[in-house]
Amino acid sequence: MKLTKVLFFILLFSTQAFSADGRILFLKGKAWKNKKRITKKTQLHYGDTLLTDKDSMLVVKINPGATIKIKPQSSFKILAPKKKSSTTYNRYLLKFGEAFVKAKRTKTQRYHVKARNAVMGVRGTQFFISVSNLGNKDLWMCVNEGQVEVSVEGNTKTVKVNAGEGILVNSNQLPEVKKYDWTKKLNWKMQGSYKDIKDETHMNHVHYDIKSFDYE
Amino acid sequence: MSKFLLSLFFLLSTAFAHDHDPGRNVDANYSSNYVKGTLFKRVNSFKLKLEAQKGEHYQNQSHSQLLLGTYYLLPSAQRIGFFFAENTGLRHTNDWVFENNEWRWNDTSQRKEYLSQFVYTKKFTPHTKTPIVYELINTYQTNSFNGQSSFIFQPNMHYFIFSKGQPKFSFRLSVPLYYALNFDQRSIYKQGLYLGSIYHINRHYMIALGLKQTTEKWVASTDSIEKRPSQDYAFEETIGQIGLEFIISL
Repeated sequence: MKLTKVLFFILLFSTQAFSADGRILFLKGKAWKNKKRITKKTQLHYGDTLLTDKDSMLVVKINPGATIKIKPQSSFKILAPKKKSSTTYNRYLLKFGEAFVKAKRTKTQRYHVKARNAVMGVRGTQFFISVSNLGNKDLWMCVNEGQVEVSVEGNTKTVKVNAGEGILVNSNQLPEVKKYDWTKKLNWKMQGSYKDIKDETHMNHVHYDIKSFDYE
Repeated sequence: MSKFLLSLFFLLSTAFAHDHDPGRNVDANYSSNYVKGTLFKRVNSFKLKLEAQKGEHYQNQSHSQLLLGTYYLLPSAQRIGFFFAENTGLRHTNDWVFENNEWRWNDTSQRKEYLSQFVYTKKFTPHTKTPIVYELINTYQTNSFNGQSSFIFQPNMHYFIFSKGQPKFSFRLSVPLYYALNFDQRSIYKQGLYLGSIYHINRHYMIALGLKQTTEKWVASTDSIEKRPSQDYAFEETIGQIGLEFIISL
């Protein structure tokens, strides 16, 4: 009887230790988890870094309630959650590239996405983030549903971005919230065939801020 | 293409060119050329600028400028800037002199003049679908050589053509107006029409072909007033310039 109990607990702990923190919902093309090729059966864990290839697309579900669509040539890290009293802070890092994030904040579950020098706090929403890997410091974010609270490193204030609005962060100053026309072209769908979910927005155009060009 | 433009510009300019003489109250047209290099370097909220230009002004008057300063970037696409420039070859009213029984312009190609500039600029992008930037550049300028101060109001329009998400070509139209603040000129003593065609090699390196037409209004010099007091000296001088410009933005 004692042996059965011990075996039961060993099994329970080992299952918990190796249980997945996320899974692949959709994969097209090549993608890697910690530099190892991903298949549709790959399980995801906290601490994993996901990388997508050119022309690929990855949609992942991360426990407890976040769905992320990662565009080509992007790097996305699932950070370990932090717990403060009864609230769990689920944290993600977009190193570079572009991702659509869908998550719903609850009393006990919060979601934070970090990119460059900004942190996006989800307030029950779907939003898009784009970080240029072309050498500039531009971070674009726009909201499709709900609201996102943005904080910038070195700044104690936050700015709230509502549905239909976007921001450009390229310094430590709080960004100006505006309605950007290009956001209307984004494909927010996360389910269906590749044709249904692929997003062909060319962010390089958006990343190049024509106002930053100086001639004299 | 650039060769054709160059030839056409010079042909047109020289076709209308003729000698001028302020004493005879005759308007004049000249053509000249220049080469310019500009380096921008962003350091936090500052954008440092170093610019060197060499070429000709007026008729065979060599000109050079070395400018150094910085913009300070403000929110909402605004900038303020402080610049200091060393110039040679600038020409002023009293450079029209009567010497050895003849009228001529002083040769100022070796004369150094130092200019200080305070600049405020604001850019606008009202069109969400069309990549056009409108810009207003306002410059207060003083010349330590003669103490003259002027204000330059310069509206610009810049249109970008993108290829694969990056600007490939852009075209710039600029219409500067020069106001004399404390010297004996007409209120607007100079105005220009500048066109620039910029080829963007990448985000950091650009080559531009500049076409400039500047009209300057002259009044009588001290010598003119002494020698020909009854003469009406109002005349205009129009200068066409074509230039090759290199821009590096880091």
